[in-house]
Amino acid sequence: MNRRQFFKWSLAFAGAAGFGALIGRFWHRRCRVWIHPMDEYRRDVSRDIAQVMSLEGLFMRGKKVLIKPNFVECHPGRPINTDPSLIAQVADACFRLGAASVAVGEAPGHRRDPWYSTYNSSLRAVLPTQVRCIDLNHGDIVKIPNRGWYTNLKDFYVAAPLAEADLVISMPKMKTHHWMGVTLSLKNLFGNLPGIVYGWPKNVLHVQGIARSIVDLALTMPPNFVVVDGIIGMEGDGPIMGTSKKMGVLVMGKDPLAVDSTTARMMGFDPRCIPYMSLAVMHLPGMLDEMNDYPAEHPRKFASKFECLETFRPWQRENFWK
Amino acid sequence: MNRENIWKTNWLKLVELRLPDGGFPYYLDTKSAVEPTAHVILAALAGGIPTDEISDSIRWLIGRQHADGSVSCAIDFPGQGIWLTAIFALALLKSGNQPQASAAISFLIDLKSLTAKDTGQNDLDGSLLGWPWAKDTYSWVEPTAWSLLALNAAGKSDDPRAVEGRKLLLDRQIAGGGWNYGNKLVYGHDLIPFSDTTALAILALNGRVPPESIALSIKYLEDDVPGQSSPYALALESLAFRACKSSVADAALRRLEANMEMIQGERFNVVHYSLALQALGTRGIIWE
Repeated sequence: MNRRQFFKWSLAFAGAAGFGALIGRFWHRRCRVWIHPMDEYRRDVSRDIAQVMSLEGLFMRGKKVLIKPNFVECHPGRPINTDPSLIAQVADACFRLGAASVAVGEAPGHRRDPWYSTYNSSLRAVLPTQVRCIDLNHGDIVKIPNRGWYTNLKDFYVAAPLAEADLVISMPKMKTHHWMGVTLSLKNLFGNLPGIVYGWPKNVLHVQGIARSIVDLALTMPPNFVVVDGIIGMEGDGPIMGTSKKMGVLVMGKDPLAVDSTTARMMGFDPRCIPYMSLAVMHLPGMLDEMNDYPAEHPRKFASKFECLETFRPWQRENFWK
Repeated sequence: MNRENIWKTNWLKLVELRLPDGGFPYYLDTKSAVEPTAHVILAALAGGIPTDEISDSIRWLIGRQHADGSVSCAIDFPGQGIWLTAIFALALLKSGNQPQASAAISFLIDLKSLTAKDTGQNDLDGSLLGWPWAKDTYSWVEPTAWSLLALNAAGKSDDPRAVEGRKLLLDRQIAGGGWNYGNKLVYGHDLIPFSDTTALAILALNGRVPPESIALSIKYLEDDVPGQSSPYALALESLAFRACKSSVADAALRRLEANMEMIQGERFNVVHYSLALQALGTRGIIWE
């Protein structure tokens, strides 16, 4: 073995050891996922949400908070988007914890017209006046280096208000997804990127690979907290053409993969089959059910298998919690 | 107040938003950007404002062009947001800045989207070449429509790229006549059309494809007007109705005028406001 080969193999071993240690560290870090019953949107749970955020060590005093819901398209009667009244409750929870400012920002992936997303009257009508609504698709942009390595993208171009926020709260809708099986907080990261750079849809990310792009985004700009709107979800041909499914639950936590994998199990999906979750497990904690703690209700109480496209049925199981 | 006076009042409100560098922002608290500045220039021309009154905006816009003829979402980020080149070209063509517009048109003609043999569940002709939002991605309805409008304005509507772009738009038409972002069905489900992209596709195709191929599309838009409240959608719809001489053109304009007041505060989007002024202006500047 010459010096060059020795150096190469030393590097490889060091890399493998570091990689193993990294995975080990994540696999051994326990995550908390909060399952909170909420049978209808009218119920006021902002105090409970604030309490969970506080218990999770989310320090908001004096901070700029950006709530990132999931708005895709707006068609009356279809549970496509995060419910405005729940967004208002999360905004209220942030103010309870002393946030200096709260904004709701989204860069919808299908529609350019913010009239159907952040500027929709149904959202503005329920938000406190001091909460700003921001169209993240159009406006100033900040370049940040891609901290992942699964795509060829050297940088991400992010809407400035998102890059400038101290805390980002992701609020996905509990839905099936016709390419990825399910869409939750990690998939919701696509809405951080402005359409004026990535297009409608964000085809740059599709071409790079949806799962790979999601993991790169998760490594570059993970949300600080997740609140999944699982009061009424979408099953079948989601995220647009599916039908409503009442679940009556919020799923919350600081670790996006822990929240997403738990929610996927509640929907009947094995998270190991969801392409972006199976990649994210190399980097983020919370994939294994036995490593997650459920300090409030147990997810089994709310689990109910979602109807899905035939393609994804092999990804489903009958019961994850016997 | 008659329509001309309403237009002037709105124009004065819009022009107040010009930033010291001559450009216009998307929103009140953002920096100058290509798209809003180009649309303000088009709005000025649609209302008969002399170009010397907007010369600093035109100068700012020209200063955004890269050596390859393209523009991007920000001058520091070349190659990002190249689809804006079509709207840039349109504004410079209409304001008489031929050399810069020609360079932009050449860039657009050379800009090729990805094509695909297998389009899976989408039932598309993936071999057709239109225009993408970003380099090395596929064709979509809106950038294709804007690029066709720019080529039409440049007198290049018979260019092979324009001919194929029109074919692509017709291929992406949803069964009911409308368009969304660019897929017509997924897993056997017809997708739901959008009013804004349908209006843009009609603007790009009108007069250059057999009228029957967009008759259902116009009908879809006409049916949309009574329930539509978005000023952006109403502006594009009004422009489309005027271009194809629809009988509901005036009703759409009245609805647009009534909804202009909703573009205010955090909702004040300069592109939307400028498109509304283009629709309300006396000259059909986008499609002439």
